[in-house]
Amino acid sequence: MLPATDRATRSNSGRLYRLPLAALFVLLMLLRASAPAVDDNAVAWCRINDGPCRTAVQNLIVSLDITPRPVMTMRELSFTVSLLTTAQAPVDAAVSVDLTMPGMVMGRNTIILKSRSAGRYEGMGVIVRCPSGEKLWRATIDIRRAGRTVSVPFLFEVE
Amino acid sequence: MEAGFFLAFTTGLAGGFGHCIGMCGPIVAMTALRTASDPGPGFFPQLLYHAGRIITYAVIGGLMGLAGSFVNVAGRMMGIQQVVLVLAGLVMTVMGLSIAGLFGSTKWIERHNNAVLSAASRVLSLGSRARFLPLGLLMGLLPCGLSYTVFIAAAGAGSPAAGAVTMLAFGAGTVPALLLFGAAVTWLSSRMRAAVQRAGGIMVVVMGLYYLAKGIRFYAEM
Repeated sequence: MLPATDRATRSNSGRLYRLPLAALFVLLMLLRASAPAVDDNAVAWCRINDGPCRTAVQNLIVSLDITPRPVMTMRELSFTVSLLTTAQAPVDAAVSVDLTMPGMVMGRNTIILKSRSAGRYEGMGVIVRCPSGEKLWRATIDIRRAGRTVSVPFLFEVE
Repeated sequence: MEAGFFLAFTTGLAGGFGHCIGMCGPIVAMTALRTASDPGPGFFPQLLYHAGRIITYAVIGGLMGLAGSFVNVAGRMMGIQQVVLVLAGLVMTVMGLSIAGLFGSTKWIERHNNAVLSAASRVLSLGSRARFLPLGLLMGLLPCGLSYTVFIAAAGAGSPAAGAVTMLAFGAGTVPALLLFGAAVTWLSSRMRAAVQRAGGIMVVVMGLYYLAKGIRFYAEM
């Protein structure tokens, strides 16, 4: 049993922090609820360790390659995105790869790619290791061109 | 660069709920349950724990900024992190058993186990509340996917100071969610002391064993 003065101190400090904590809790829940949700059932599955993955979006064929293979976490990796169109391959697009983990908040890990040749964009990045042992990752390729953005997600597993 | 600090802070703020409570919640619960019966403001030990954790983040962030490379520094840290994971598992198992009252106190464990268990138990049995600062300093080294992502940003921050501030901002962002969680555990514990202490203690033991298994498995993979 605590002395009466100690109990009073605890009680006062409890009143002091209860209201701001409740307000913070509501704010953070709102922040969390406003985060965009991704339907991974509609995402292209990618066997990245077998070679580049590709998918067609609008008039574009988007290909993603990650090397060296097998793709491992905590290593420097080269990300290559190739864009193929029926017309001339674009060189003026702003291309980035956003790495996220389905079902786990892992922070924002965005790799900005640079144009290397017609329709070919490259950049270096790292896929971090999740100590939970989960190996499934989502790479969302954002292609911004002429004021429009096309997002192409791929799901893949790392070693 | 200020935008980078703000992004690191908001990553910590949002990740606090989505990531940290799941991964670090048991450790926070352990400190909250351990201090639930202490006199004085229940917040203080937890603030010390988080201060320790953030100091470690900032030091590593500074190293990342200095090296300018996440992979090089993280690679060197990996061995230390596995040791900390095993140590955290041991500490949590010992403290969970003590909190649950399964052996009355940690003295039973100290008598029957090795020096590491005994040392971990002694750190947490110190009379001063300051013991939570070294605990936080140590736990800041635990491998964590969310902090790895922000370490990448710290490595690209351009200087040791910017790397350290990036991680300070991130660490500060994670505090509200974990403080809330700790406050909730303390509040529950003060209302339903015996039941919560026992259930919480058993949960901490289970998570301690999980951390131990993870640490040992990482060793096997290295």
